[in-house]
Amino acid sequence: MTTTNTRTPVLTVEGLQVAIPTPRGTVKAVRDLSFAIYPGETFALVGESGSGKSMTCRAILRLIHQPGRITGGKVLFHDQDLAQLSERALQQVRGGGISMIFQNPMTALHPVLTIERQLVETLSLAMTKPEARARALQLLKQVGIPDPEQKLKEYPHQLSGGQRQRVMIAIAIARGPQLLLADEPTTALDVTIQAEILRLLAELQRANHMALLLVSHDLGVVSQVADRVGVMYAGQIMETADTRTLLGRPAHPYTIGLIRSMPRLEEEERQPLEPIPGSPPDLATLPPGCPFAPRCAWATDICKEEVPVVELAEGHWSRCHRAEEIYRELGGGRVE
Amino acid sequence: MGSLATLTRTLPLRRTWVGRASPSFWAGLLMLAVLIAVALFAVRLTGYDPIRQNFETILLPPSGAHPFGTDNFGRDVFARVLYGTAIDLQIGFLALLFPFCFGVVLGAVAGYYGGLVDSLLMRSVDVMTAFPFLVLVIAIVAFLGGGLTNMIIAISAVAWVPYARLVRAEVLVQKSMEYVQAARTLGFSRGRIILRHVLPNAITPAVVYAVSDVILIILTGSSLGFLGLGVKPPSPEWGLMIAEGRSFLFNGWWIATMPGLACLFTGITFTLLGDGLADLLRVKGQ
Ligand SMILES: Nc1ncnc2c1ncn2[C@@H]1O[C@H](COP(=O)(O)OP(=O)(O)O)[C@@H](O)[C@H]1O
Ligand SMILES: [Mg+2]
Repeated sequence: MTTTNTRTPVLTVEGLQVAIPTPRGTVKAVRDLSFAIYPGETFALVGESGSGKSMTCRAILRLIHQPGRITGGKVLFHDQDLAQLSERALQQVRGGGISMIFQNPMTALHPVLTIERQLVETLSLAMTKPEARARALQLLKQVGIPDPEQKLKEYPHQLSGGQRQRVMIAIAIARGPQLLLADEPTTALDVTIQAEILRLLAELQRANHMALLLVSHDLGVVSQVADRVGVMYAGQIMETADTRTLLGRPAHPYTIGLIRSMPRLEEEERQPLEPIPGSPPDLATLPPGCPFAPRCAWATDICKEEVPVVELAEGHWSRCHRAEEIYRELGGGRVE
Repeated sequence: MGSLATLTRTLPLRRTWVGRASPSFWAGLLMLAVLIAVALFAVRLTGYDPIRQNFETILLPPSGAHPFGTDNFGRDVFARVLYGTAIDLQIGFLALLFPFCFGVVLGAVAGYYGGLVDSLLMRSVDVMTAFPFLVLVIAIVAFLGGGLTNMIIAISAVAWVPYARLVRAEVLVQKSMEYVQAARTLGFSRGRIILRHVLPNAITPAVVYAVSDVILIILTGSSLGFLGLGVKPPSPEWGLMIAEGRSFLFNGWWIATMPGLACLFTGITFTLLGDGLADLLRVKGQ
């Protein structure tokens, strides 16, 4: 991935913090999160449910539900800080510069408007109605909807889950965004359809030179399409590296846990899945030190006090005291 | 049943609301058409004057000449019921329209924006619901004075509460739906999302409620007439007629009964219509 680093990122997230005040205390849903996405690249955020992936996506577009809010950090789209931008200017970025698709295609489309209305209305934010109508048809073809003329006239409930997600994607890419945020875009779909949707996203990305932030709880899904991966836990990125390195030479115990709990179909002697023992911490009462320490087989006393950031190679770093050790030990071999 | 429903839904006719409407909806609509026709053409449907007194025809029982009989002033009860239709429908319509619009707007704003606006509104709703509906209306009418206009103002000032509640609750549900989120990620403004996406979906329960509320409002109007706080005699408003006929129940039962049946007919009309509409909109929302 050396080529990407010479270009300037589409999106740079720096030290992002999101907090939600609750009766039990302040939930720190996103903590000191930093990453960058380059043009045409796919960056994946992976982590267990509740690790703050959706919150991160919403924070990027500044669409966090009350009472949650961004309490620190920058979200740079090129050199505009979205965290500081006026609501009006943000509306231009939403859908135009950055778009988003959601997990559940059943509820993400308007239930009582035809597909055409929904596409045309979105497109009309950027062009005239007649232009929008022509483009709507073209978009449906582009996302691989069979019989697009007919489908334009139909309502969301008349389409299958996969088709609905395709329509969602068509609407999201309608205005040619430079970055697409995809929050668990395949989680609600059948396995076969999951693969088709991932392939479609990859195709569209190549054709439109669009950057993709792919969010998933499933490392298996992510590893098929992502260039780089950030592994999220308790609102932080614990390890980030290019996909091949992350899977082959992980340097964080949590990453190793995720890899081991991944079903591997291609292997002859199928190993039993090993779920990571324990459960994620309560984000309202986080103790100092590493949030993964209570579940970690490698943990030592110092882990309960502070967390370092260790750089293992260019673009590969890990928040673990024993990162170097793990990296060296597993060097070259597969994680078993 | 399920497979039949899916089969019929795929037929072109079933996609339009005309195809999906239930028999009760059509019955209600037909009855409403009758009511409106009566209200508009009362003059053509009877030769009698609803107001002018005639002391030669006092307290005649129903007959060919006077199908609903005559009252203690010798006025034809059939004519009075026909002329009363326009008055009661007008009360029902106007005293519903204002509180409906007011309640829907307040509920939508409170639900969508939340925070202080929402707290203030819901607090005042709580206060309003602490008093019985009719007591509040009577208090306001007593303060403003009787008559049609003041009565409509009084009813409007109280009747918006359930609409604000219903719409607010629905907006809260709709607001958290992904498609509303999705609309924001696409760059639609909040105002536009409320008006064009949230409200049309959130308004359904309010519309259904409104249809059944019509009859309650007509009855409130009639009750006020009955109490001498609404429309004044000699107007042929149904409630007033029932109030006046009350003292003749033994020697002229028809004076109070006939306008009572008219109220009943109107009530059934809007109940059927409301029921049918609820079915229609429920299917649409799925
Ligand atoms: N309204 C809320 N009140 C309290 N905590 C919340 C609220 N919304 C989200 N959270 C917390 O924020 C964290 C991040 O949630 P989310 O971003 O949805 O996770 P993910 O998408 O990775 O599953 C979760 O631990 C969740 O418990
Ligand atoms: Mg999520």
